[in-house]
Parts: sequence; C-alpha cells; structure tokens
Amino acid sequence: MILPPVGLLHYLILSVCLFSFGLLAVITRRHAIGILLGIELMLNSANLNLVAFSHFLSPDTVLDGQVFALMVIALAACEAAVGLAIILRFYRQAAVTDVADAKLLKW
Amino acid sequence: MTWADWFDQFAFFLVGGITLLGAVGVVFAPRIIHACLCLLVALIGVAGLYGLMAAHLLLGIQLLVYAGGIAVLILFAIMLLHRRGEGGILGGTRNLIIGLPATVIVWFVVAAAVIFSKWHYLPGGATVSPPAGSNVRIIGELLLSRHLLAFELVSVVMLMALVGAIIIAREDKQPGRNTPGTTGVSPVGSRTGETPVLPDGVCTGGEDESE
Amino acid sequence: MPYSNLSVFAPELSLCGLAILVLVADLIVPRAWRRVPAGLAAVGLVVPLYFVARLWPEPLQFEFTGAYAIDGFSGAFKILLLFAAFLVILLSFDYLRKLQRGFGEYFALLLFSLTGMMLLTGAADLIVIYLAFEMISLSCYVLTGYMKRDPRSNEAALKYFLYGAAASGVMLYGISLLYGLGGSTRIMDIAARFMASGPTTAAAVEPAFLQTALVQAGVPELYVMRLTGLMMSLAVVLVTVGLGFKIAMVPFHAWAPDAYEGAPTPVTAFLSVAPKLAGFALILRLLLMWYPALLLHWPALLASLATITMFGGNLWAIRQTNIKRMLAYSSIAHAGYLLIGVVVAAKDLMGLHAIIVYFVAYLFMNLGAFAIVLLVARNMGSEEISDFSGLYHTAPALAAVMIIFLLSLTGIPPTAGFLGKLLIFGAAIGSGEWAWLAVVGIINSAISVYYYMNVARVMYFGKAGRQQVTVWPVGVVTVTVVCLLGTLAVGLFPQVIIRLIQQYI
Repeated sequence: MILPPVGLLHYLILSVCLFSFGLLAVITRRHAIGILLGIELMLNSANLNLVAFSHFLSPDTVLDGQVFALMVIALAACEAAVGLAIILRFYRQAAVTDVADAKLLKW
Repeated sequence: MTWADWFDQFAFFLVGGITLLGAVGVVFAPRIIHACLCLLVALIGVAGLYGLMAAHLLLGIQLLVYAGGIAVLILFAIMLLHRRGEGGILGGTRNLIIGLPATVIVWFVVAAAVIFSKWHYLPGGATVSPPAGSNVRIIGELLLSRHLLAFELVSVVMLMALVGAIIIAREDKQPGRNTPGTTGVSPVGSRTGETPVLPDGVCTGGEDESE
Repeated sequence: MPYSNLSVFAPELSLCGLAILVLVADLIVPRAWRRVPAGLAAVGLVVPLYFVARLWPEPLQFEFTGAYAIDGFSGAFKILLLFAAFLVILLSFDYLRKLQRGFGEYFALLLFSLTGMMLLTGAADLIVIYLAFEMISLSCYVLTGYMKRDPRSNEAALKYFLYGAAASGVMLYGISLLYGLGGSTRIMDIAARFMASGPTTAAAVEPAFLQTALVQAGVPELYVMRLTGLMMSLAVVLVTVGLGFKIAMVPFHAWAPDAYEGAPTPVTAFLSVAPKLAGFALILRLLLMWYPALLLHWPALLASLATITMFGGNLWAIRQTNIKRMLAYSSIAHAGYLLIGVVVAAKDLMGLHAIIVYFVAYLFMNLGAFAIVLLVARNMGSEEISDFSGLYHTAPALAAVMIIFLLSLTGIPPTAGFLGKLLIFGAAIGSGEWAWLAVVGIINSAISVYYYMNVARVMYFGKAGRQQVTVWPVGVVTVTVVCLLGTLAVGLFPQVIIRLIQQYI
C-alpha cells in the first residue's frame, strides 16, 4: 500500500474537519458555553492552518504563521475571559443558559 | 516507504484521530461538562500536531495557555453554572436537522477548495524537514521586529479584556443605601410592558436633576 | 530596517495613553469627583486629533515595516471616529449617573475601543487587522453589557458576544487561508504576490498529483483551473462574513437589533456609528490594495449584499415599535447605501469621496437622533415610539429638531443626508456598471420615508401624554445642538465639505 507522504494537505483537511465540527457545535449547541466551545474549535482549526502553512510553504526562518497563531491563542484567552464573564452575568440574572431562552429581546 | 515515513503516517493519524474524536465529543456529548473535557482532548491533540510540525514553542503555549488556562477556565465556569443547570436538556443539542446538512455542505466546499488549490512555496522555498535547532529564537526576533506592532497591540488588548471581564463579572454590592430607583428591577419579561426597565439609566428621573 | 518612526503612530499612542490615564485617574480620585476622569476623556481627545491633523500625509506611507499605513482616507476616518467618540462621551454623562461602580472604566473602555478602530483604519497586516478587530469587539461586548442590573443589557451582551465570536472565528479561518495563498501577513506583499504569480513563477506543491490525476481522468483542464480559483473566492467570502458582521450587513445582521435595543443608549449610538466607520475603512483598504489582483469579484458580491442589506434594513424597520430597534434597522439600511459607495470605489475615487461625505452626514444625523431618544427616554422612562406621541405639543423645539434629523436620515434636501445620498447614487450612476444599484437605493429611500415619517406623524398628531419634558441634561443638549448645526451646515453648504475632501484625500 502506498500512502501519500504526510504533508500540507493532510493538515489542511484535518483543519477543515475541526472547523466543521466547531461550526456544527455553534449551530446546534443549546448551552451558551457549548457555543463557546465550538468557537474555540474554530479558532484552533485556523491556528492549525496557520502553522501548517508556515511549516510547509515558507522557509524555516519565516515563521509569520507561528507568530500569528501565538497572537490568536492570546486573543482566545481574552475572548474566553470576557465571554465567560458575560455568560455568568447573564446566567445569574436569568437563571438559564439555554440561548433559546434568551428572548427578552426578540431574536 | 521507509520506517521514518511509516512513523510519520502513524503519528499523524494517531494524533489527528485523537483530535477529531475530541471534536466529535464537543458537538455530541450530551452534557456540557463532558463536551468541555472533549475540548481539552482536542486541544491537547492540536498541541501534538504542532509538535509534529516542529512548532515547539506553540506546543508549549497551546498546552499551558489553551489546555491549561482556557479549557480549565471554561470548566470552572461550567461548574459555577452547574448548580441549576444539572440534568435537563441544557447541555444537549438542537437543530441537528438544519445544522448537520449545512455543516456537511460547508465541509465539502472548503475541502474541495483546499484539495484543488495550488499551494505555492515561497520564493527560496525550503524543504519539509524541520529546522535543526529550536525555532523559538526566530519567533522572538520576529515579535520584536517584523511583528512589533502586533506584539504591543496584544498587550493592550489583554489589559482591556482584563478590565472588561472584571467589570462584567464582579458582584455589585447591593446598595442598602437610598437608591430606590435601582433596586426595583423586574427580573424577566416586561419587554413590551410599559414599565421602565432601565434601572441604572433612564428611568425615574427626579433625583439629581441639577446636573 | 525594523526600526519604525514612532511619531507617525502618535495618534493611536496618545489615545491609548489617554485610556490608561483615565483608568488610573479613576482609581485615584475620590468618588465625588468621578466626573473628572470622564471629562478628561472627552477633553483629551484633542491630543490625538491634533496628531492626526499634523501628520496629514501627502502620499500613502507605511510604518512598522509595512504593518501600518497612513494615508488621506484613513486620516479622514480617524477624525470622524474621534468626533463620534467625543459626542458619545458627552451623551454618556447623564445616562451613567446612577452607576454604582465602573464609571471611569466605561470611558476607558470607550477609548480602548476607539484605539482599536483607529488602528483598523490603518492596519495593513493580517495579524494587526485581526487584533484590532478583536479589540473593538471585546470592548463593545463589555460596553453593551454595562448596565449589569438590566436583564436586557445582559441579554444583548450575550447575543452580541455569541454572534461576534462566531463571526470572528469564521473570519479568522478565512484570514488563515489568505495567509496560505499569499505567503505573507502583509497585505501589500500578498497583493504583490498575486500580481506577480502566473502559473510559471512558482511551482505547485502538493495537490499536483491530484490535479494531474484529474486531467488524466478526463476532467477538462479548465475546470481544474476554476477549482483553483475556488479557494481565493472562499477565503474572501469568509473574510466578508467577519466584516459584514462588524458593519451589520444583512445576512450577518441578526445581532444588531438586539444589541442596539438592549445596550445602554449612548453605547447604542456609539455602536451604530463607530464600528461601521472602522469596518468600512478596512473594506476600503482591502479593496484599494487588492482589487485587481485578488478581489476581482468582490464588488459584485458586495453589490448583491448591498441590495439585500438595504431591503432588509428598511423592510424590517417598518414594523418596529421600539425607537432604538427601529434606528438599528435604519442603520443597517444605511450600511447598505454605504456599500454602494464601496462597490463604486473599486474603480472610481468618486465612490470613496461619497462614502466619506455620507459618513459625515450619518454621524451628525444618527447621533443627533440618538441624543433626542436619550432626552425623551430620560423624561418618559422608556424608548417606545409611542413615547414620542404628542411631543410637538409638550416640547415643540425637540420635535422640530427630531424632524430635521428624520428628514436627513430619509435623504430630503436641504439636509446632510440628502447630500450624502446624492453623491453616493451619483457615483453609482456615473460608473455606468452599477447604475442599477442607485435605482435600488432610491427605491429604498422611498420605503424609508414610511417609517421615519411615522415617527414624525406620532410626534405631531399623536395624543400628548401626561409627562412633560422637564429634564435637559447639558451634555445631551449640547450634542443635539452640535448635530443639528452639522446636519444643516453640511446640507446648506455642500461645496465646502466637498472641496475639503477633494483637496485632502
């Protein structure tokens, strides 16, 4: 059996799968935190892309993609902090986290 | 194929498989806490993939910040919420009938685009083999030269997020003092009801109109 | 090579410093003086404004080794942003008077958000674009949820956050694909690469075996080539999702009405103007730098999005009963009109000028309308359109001013809104190719007459309520007057502003 050598395409396809699962979680999860989990998956899939491009397409001394991924991780931390604060605050007030129950304002 | 090639194949499919299993769990785990643990698995898997691509600094940071920080933060949040969310359908999924076909279409489009694109080496293109030493030094130099602006900017964003998260999350001391206008908030509903529901802002003029 | 000229960065630097100063000052000063740091925030905006004016560049300049661009149009956007923030700060004083804690932090967050927006107008690097984008988003989520005791504010923040984070995730995926296609994070490098890259300049890497296999299997080479272009389109579409979210384009607008209704009213005013300015600045930057090389089909995509954005915004606005929600849909419709200008701007500088004039008008009339909403809500207690009933009898001046803002939003002469629409539609007709967009825009302006004039009808013919307008907060009144003067001045002396813009951009 001849398998094509592990290369850029492998990682890109894997990243597409991760992105799709993230999207699916965002669409289908009822829990606000579940949606946040899906978003984290999407960010990771983008990071995987960035690192793969950086590794396979550019010279070893050009690591823009890795720097970008670093920034994305930092931002994901910020986003999670702010997002969880908002979710907790919403929950304390409304006693539900099912986004379908957030209907004080019309969707 | 040499043994090294076989090892590459094995390592990629093992780590990639673990990552995908984690991702599946994030979507389908019936309870949110399990979904979060699955996310942890996926994050560790992604860290492994970084390792396979010789991004050792990112591997470390992914484990420390993402798996160790963000995922645990989310776990804490779930535990804080869990008191009343226990049981129920709160963690479950909905809209699978719409979501699944939509996602499958997205998957096919993006995958087709990825497969049929021509990805080009940059000029002076390198081999696929990982660099000899560590590349942390290069990243450090990039951060302080080419990406200096981004590096500075991210620190400001972090400061801002810190301030913002504290403001939103901290518990206001319920004022026992004379603030009648702010305490009488109707909790839920009353969107269409004509009662003023803007506690801190608009309603009940007449206290300090001198301003 | 890596050393940059920091003086070029002075506006953003001073603004960021001002934000931190406000943050620290708020910790130090006693509670009774808590307006001092807030006032500092308003007055201090003069410093970045001075730097923007002093740095006004002749040609396009790049700083930070190409990561940051300064040119005429980003300068114009920065001035508009600073002005909008100044007015919003004035609007906020009275609204926040009951806030127990976090008075100073509000203004600091506003300034941080503004810093991000100013950065986005000049960002020329994918990383900086993403960071500035997130900076705006995160601060806006917090500002939306600032009234923590108000369940609607919390819910608005939650929805805004969930939509926004998902949109930025999608956009980041698109950006990562662009990085892979362009091989660099600098948007100029990417443009140069696409200009240069013919089939011969670079060797195909991985999927070569698949492509040859396809050709061998009998698939015509043409289709294989088409598929190769698919990735570029896909990346552009994904980025458009993120941008469309920021400026509230129709398929990605769902957050806007909820966030606008639930957010504190000054924040709503801010959201309706400032992120749009920043988002449009970024769209224009990408378009001006990438258009022929990379974004060949983008104007067509944006034209169709503009059409549904205009129709969606205007048709949904008709059935609203809450004035903030109505203004939210109206601002969606205005984003549609502005998109016409963007579509034209790809080939014609007229479009760019028209957009800036439109934004000047939009800033005055929209912030003015929100100032009056604040005044009425302060006295009546809520923000339903029915609260405006009989306003003509209880506060005739207020009703008259509101009418002027509504006329301007509709686009009726002699107001600023008319000039903006005239220039945008004129540019579209002048381009020939996009003349049909002008027709769509005019139809939509006609639709918008209905719901704007409905408010006027309620004010003049509705039965007056018991409540009188007795409270006139100084800041809000000031903003109303400034916006009124601006709306009329731009409408009555159009040649002044047009000459200014043609001269400096």
